[in-house]
Amino acid sequence: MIKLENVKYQHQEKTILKNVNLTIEKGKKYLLLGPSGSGKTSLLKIMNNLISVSAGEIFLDGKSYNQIKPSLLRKQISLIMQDSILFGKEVKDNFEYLNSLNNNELSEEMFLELLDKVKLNKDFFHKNINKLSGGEKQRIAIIRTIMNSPQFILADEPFSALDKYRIQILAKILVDLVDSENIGLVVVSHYFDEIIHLFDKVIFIFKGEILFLGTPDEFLENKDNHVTNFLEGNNE
Amino acid sequence: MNEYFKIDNMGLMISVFAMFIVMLISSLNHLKLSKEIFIGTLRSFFQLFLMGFVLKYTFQHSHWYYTFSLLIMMILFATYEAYKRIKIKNYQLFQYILFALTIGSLIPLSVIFYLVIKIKPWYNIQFIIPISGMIVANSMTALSLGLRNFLQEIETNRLLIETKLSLGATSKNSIKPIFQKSYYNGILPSINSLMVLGIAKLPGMMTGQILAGVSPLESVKYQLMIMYMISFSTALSLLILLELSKKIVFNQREQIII
Repeated sequence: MIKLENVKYQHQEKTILKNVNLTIEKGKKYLLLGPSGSGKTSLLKIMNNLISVSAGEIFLDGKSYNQIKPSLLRKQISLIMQDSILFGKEVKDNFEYLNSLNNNELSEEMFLELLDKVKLNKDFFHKNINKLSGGEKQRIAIIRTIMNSPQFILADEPFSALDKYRIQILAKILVDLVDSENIGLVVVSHYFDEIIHLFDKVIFIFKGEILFLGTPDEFLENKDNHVTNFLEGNNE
Repeated sequence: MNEYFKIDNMGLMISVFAMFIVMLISSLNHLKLSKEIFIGTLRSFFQLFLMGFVLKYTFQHSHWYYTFSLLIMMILFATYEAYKRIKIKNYQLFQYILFALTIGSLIPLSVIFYLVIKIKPWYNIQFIIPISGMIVANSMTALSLGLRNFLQEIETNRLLIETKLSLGATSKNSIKPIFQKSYYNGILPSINSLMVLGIAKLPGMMTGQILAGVSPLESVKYQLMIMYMISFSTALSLLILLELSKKIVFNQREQIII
């Protein structure tokens, strides 16, 4: 479980996040929504410990982040960044890099199985990464993260390079993968209409504050002005 | 055969005049370098003569504190020159450069003066200052090159580094290729110069000694000694600096802070 208590984050004298109190449970899937600039990416980076809070505390399974070695923490709470870069020249270089981070204990077979699960041919293993489409790159980034065996996966706009149809397919793939491994998932997605019900909870953030945490149906029926404005803006 | 020919003032002025031709070429080609060439010529002229007078005085009045003071000044000046060429202005970085240059120079210099040349007394300025100058100057160039490369690569590859960190890589692992590349770029010039020694050029120290009437074979020994020690000093000081520079790039939570 990831627990954020009274978290505040400031950057260059600007308050990005304030009064954030949030619990992310393992095995549950969360959709993180909010207007641009509301602090979604910062929240994910804080949970991944790529940046530190200005005030407040974060705990993983009851232990303060500051008591856990950063590399171990990030292995447990891995982040798929918005513009995640693939390593090396070929897809297999990404497997080899992950393997090096995991004491060479990972199985190439598992990577190939995951390729299959994300609907990519095994030949992709040797494919040049510059020849991959945006969606294919994101699928490799997802596989790469799952291979790390994290407790939690945070994904910042993992569907941004895709059309609505492919977003639904990839979202379903991602959700099925994390369900099978009992991984906690937090996804930021600009597009959410067709995929909102794949998630257990919706977190709505506005100007750095969490205004809503509840089920997808509760979110869609919420009467808060900021939520309704956001939903209307999204429907345009 | 071992005659030494002095340069008279007229001869020196003819050499200086050559720099005016360099300025003219720059001007005719609109390179906008004339000012730098003029300042460089003037600075080198006065700086070297000043050094010459200081050395002449200290040769005649040899004391350990003169040698020590000149060494300190040399290292401080080289540190400042290396630091000036870096975009990031950070006092900690200045300290790291100073530390790397000091340790990276003093160890090879100690080897030279105690084990190789075995000069007595240790503060014999006639040997210490010229040799130290070569060691420190070459290390300064390597540090400047290596560090600039290192920091630029970190800036350019920030997203790649963060991607690796976000998957659980340590800070050391996340910048390993950059570290290796910067180190390589920093020491390559000194390694390359070893390749062309005696073929493409007769190096400065050997040339100077031959002109002064020293036997060529004896001057070869000096030249080889200085070239190998320059490589040693470069390798050592650059390694120290790049390792320390990681503290400028990452904080204790292994987050990028530049």
